[in-house]
Amino acid sequence: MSGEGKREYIHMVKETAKAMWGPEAAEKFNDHIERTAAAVYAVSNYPLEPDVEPVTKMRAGDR
Amino acid sequence: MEPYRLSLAEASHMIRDGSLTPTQLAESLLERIDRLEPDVEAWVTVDRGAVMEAAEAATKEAEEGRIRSPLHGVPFGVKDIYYTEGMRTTMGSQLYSGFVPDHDATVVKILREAGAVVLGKTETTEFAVHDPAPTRNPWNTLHTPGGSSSGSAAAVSCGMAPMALGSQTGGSVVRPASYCGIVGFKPTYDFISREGVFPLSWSLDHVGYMTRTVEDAAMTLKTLKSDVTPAKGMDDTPKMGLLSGYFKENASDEAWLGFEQAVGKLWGEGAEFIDVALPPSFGMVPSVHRVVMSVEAAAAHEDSFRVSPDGYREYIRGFISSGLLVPATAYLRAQRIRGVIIRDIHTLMRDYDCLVCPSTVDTAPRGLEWTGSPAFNAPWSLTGLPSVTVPSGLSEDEMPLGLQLIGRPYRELDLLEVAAWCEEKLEFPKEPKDTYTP
Repeated sequence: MSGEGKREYIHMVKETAKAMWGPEAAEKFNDHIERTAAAVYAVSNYPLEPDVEPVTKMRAGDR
Repeated sequence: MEPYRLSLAEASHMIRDGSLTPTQLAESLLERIDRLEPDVEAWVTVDRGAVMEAAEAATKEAEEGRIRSPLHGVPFGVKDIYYTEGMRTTMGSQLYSGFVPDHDATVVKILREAGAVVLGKTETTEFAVHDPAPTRNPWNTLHTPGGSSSGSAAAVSCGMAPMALGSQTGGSVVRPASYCGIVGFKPTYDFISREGVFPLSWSLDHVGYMTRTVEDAAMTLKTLKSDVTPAKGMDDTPKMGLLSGYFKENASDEAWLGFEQAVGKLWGEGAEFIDVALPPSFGMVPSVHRVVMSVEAAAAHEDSFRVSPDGYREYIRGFISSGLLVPATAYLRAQRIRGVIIRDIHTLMRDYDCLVCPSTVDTAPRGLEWTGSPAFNAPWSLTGLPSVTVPSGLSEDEMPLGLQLIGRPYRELDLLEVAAWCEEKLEFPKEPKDTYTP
């Protein structure tokens, strides 16, 4: 996972936040926006086979 | 012994044999609340009239020989995100400061029908996220009790209630319970109904509760779920998979030392510990948890947030805002990775009675602004596995440390059997001094 790609993604999300809520609110929530954007970037770069389905209704295991 | 000091099981036994009435127990707990509440601030609402009315009804039934369940006449606290009929339920938010539900959450209803007595509503962080409640840690009132089930943990810890309901999305039962030196238990995801519990993140929210003993936790579970799978019966001593890696890297020196000391003590008593390597997918837990929780919280609050953003405090406002920015494909991808993590953890724990790690990164932080890190509990909320914290010792400054045990899905009583064994061997001092502020 490239550090440059992550920085670019977080920057893009911050710009989106500014456009949505204005620069003041985006700055106030900067820490949350950065952490969530970093998490999204990590998730997006985790390799998965196409047949891995999402947990849509959580099942912790068979009874 | 003052009735407030009794464990749930002790009180239950005495109510059944007639040596204690529910009225006496409720009076003792209300006196305890009167005495300590100014320092601890664990409660949002205590309706003394309703408590005594319910306790007297339970007393009358007991005198007539009608004992509804082992929890008959036993008062309990309810986190203020559980609906309670006719009793204010605030979610720790100014937006709900006057909200009075017209029905009980299913869990509250089951407990009332079992003869248990609602003692009151306990403090929670706002909407069970991180903006703190006013509650203080009874072991040292300069420290947080943790969150989000702050009031429930503090109340049980200092003898205001023998049991209190909490909820966990990240670490909101196990962490505050560990910080307050008590037992905190979270069953398998969805094993206990979440109906009437205000949602934060539907696929992560768990009903859980705090008690002072493992026996009390098991007794409560059997009342809540009569169909719970019986314990298979442990061999003489448990076989546990010891988790280090992520946990050792993120624990404070003192928390890890305390964990090693507890493990050493249990090993000396015959427990078997086997180092287990966490699967590579485990490294994705923090990111996956963050994506799932922020998106689901944003979705749960979207309508209200659009109308009244200023009605939310700062942390949750930022958290919801960040969740609104996550692409749908990223959310689904997180849920796909979650499936991989669950599969890998199930495989990992196949050969052990349970997994074991420290309950928290450190002891309860000083100050009330931050309720502490859920980093050691969120993996078990994400995977939905049952987990329990057992108090394991005290730090140098006399704050509690806990041992977290993780069991197989729907094998709660197996897990509590191991927890009871650990509790007995660890011999933790059971209660704080009568509210200690240095």
